[in-house]
Amino acid sequence: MNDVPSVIGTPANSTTQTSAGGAPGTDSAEPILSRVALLGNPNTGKTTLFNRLTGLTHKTSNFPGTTLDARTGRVAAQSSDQHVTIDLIDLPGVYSLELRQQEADVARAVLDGELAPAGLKAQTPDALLIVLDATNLGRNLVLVGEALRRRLPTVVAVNMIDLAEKRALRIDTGALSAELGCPVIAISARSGRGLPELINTLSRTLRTEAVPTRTAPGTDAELRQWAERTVIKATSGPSESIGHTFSDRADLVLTHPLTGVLVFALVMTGLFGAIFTAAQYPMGWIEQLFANLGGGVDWIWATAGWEPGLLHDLLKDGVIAGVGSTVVFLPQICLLFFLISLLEDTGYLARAAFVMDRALRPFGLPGHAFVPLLSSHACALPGIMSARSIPDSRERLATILVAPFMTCSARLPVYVLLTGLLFKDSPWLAAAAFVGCYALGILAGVFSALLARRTILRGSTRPMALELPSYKLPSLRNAVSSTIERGMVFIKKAGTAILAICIILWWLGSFPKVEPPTQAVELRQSVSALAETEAAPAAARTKMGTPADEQITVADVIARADRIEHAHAKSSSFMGMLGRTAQPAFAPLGYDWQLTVGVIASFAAREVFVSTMSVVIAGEEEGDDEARNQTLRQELATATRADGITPIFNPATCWSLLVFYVLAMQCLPTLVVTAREAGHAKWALLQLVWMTLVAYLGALAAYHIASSLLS
Amino acid sequence: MRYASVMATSSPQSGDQSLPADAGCACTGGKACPTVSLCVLRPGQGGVIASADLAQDDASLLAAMGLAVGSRIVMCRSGEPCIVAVVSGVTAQDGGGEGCRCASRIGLARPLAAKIQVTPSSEG
Repeated sequence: MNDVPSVIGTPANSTTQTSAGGAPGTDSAEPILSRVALLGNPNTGKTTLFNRLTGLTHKTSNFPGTTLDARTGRVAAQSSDQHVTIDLIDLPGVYSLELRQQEADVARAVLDGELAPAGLKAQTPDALLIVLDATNLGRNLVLVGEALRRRLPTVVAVNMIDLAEKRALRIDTGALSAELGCPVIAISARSGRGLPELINTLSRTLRTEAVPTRTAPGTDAELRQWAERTVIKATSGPSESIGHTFSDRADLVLTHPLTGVLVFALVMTGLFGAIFTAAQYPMGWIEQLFANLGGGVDWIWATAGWEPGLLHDLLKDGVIAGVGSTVVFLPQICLLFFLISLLEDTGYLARAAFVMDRALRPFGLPGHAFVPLLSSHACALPGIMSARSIPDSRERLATILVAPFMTCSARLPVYVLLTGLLFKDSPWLAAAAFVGCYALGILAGVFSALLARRTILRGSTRPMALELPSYKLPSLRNAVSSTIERGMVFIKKAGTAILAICIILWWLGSFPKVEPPTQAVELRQSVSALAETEAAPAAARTKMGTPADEQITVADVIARADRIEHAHAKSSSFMGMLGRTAQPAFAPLGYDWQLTVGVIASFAAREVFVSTMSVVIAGEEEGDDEARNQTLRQELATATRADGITPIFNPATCWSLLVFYVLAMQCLPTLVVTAREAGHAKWALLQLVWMTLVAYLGALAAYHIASSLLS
Repeated sequence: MRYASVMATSSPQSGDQSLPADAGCACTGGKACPTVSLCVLRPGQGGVIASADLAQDDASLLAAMGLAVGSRIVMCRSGEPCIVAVVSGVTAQDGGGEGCRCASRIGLARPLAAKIQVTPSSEG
């Protein structure tokens, strides 16, 4: 049977967590509400079992005071004539409850009734469900022995029984149960085999409050010997021939210094190729959706006959545009986590960390950091979120802090603009500059990590000790669950903190409202009595400086007036004032007030720099028309400063800007996600300050070097 | 690549006897067992962990992962980093020698592996 009858997954109610309506151990027909902690070593399929039992409706929060995920879900089952509702808490995977590491601290505190996932009341669990890997019982039983000492009602699930059977390894669950003094059920969480029996057994154990009849020996050495003896008693079958298993043969290739790196490069190329190609379609749909939503606001106002005002602009330009610019990254995030989850399930990701460990270790980072850093080249958000796979908290934090140095896709429009201005007729030199930008980001990242590990995150670089789990087929259900979980976390952030800051930035860029400039007013007046399709009158052509032989219509005149108004509003806004006020600080980098407005306006999203410069200098945003965009870039290239002679984008300024945008933290969603993943806003602030400082000094050096070399 | 069968000496098959501290040692006659660094084991060579000069946290983590004093191991890939198989459920095999019913593979950086002393099996 592949499914679980009479088991319904629902999210745990965060407000009614104590036993309500009937305590465990009673024989009444009242429903029982019990809390069960799910415990196990890493790589035992514990989370697969949790997902299988609770469905896709479980709730993800964190353990208070930590950044560890806390998944809780509800399982409803029937035991005899009683309804049993189980609130299942997925504890972090631990090798031992006695270790001094965050995961073990949390597991211990939950079992002691001192800690519970955020939103739940702390209480000692009513029972333990311990998950073992059928193919690696020896080590797993040590954890069981530690848990047995707690004298809680316990059920043991021997997972991956199908994998053990493939190896002809037989596990006598009866003998194992006799040794452990508690029920033991063989299951396959991936296929669902054995789960109905597991639920029934767990319900029965909760109802009877049956504690294990045996306990494990006291000292660590005795515990390991007991585990070893238990394995021998409870298992039979052919011996594993170490070195000749599929895993061993695959490892010879996948962990080899040469072929391992080659395969890793291929896998990562495939991974990111898939993300870039497949994600662009849903990203386009999301952009279209938010454009339609903006259009919907226009339609409502037009239908109601309202004059567009503050509320209209807030909804369209603040809320919809702000959230849309963040949610557009959702497909990349979901696709990345889906593929990473599949890779992790196969056992390959541990080999990738193994292969990359040697390259990253000198910088105080573990091999695990490679995937987050590589992911950050698509977008820092999924990169930072995937840093959770790094076991050591200092190394995890260092990775999170430096991940935004990697060149993400949002930097590309800026690179395109600046390298295009620098090397207009030399595409190969422009390409080389592009590569240089990537290299500079990587170098800044790894050296910043080294600095962090030598200072604020000081501590010995923990040498790698990494379990390489058996290779197996990945679970699609797990991948979907992980994707939904990460996607929801991101959407919640986009709908709260990011939305709030977007509204503030919109306000800064839209207020105070100013009167249209005289030029725009006169242009409008010159065509006020004419239809849009008519030829523009001579007065308007004169004001626009249009050559006599160029045909323009009234619509062109109105469009020009709009652009002039837009640019004037932008430069008169609080954002524009900020740009003018801050300009002296950016003067050493070669930036005038217009470039400074561009830098400040793109604080929330670096790609905004290009459109801001287009608006401020050319009075027009970039669009889909490539020919028009070419013209815009030409206008940017020839735009001059206040003296009317010095170009805004001279070569030294372009180099300075390029270095600044490689190194600067110009991404609001990244800061929000950093604060969440690092566990405190101070880390996001540090990231912002450090990256801005590095970017400023880098841009300063680039400006002066370029100025002296090119003068 | 040649892989030795796991251990040369006997191991408890059942009952409540404790494993001797030098279980799996290749020495006889009461002589002190020669130990070598885990790093020097060749691929396929087995041994028993004799001691580990590690920081408390590292030692505890490795022990929890199965690399404790008395644990039987086989070197799967030598070098930096190396891969060690931690064997459990050691059984007598038909035709002599021993095998195991389950093993986990641990990737170990050299700084850790170098501080672990192993009594190599005679078949290494």
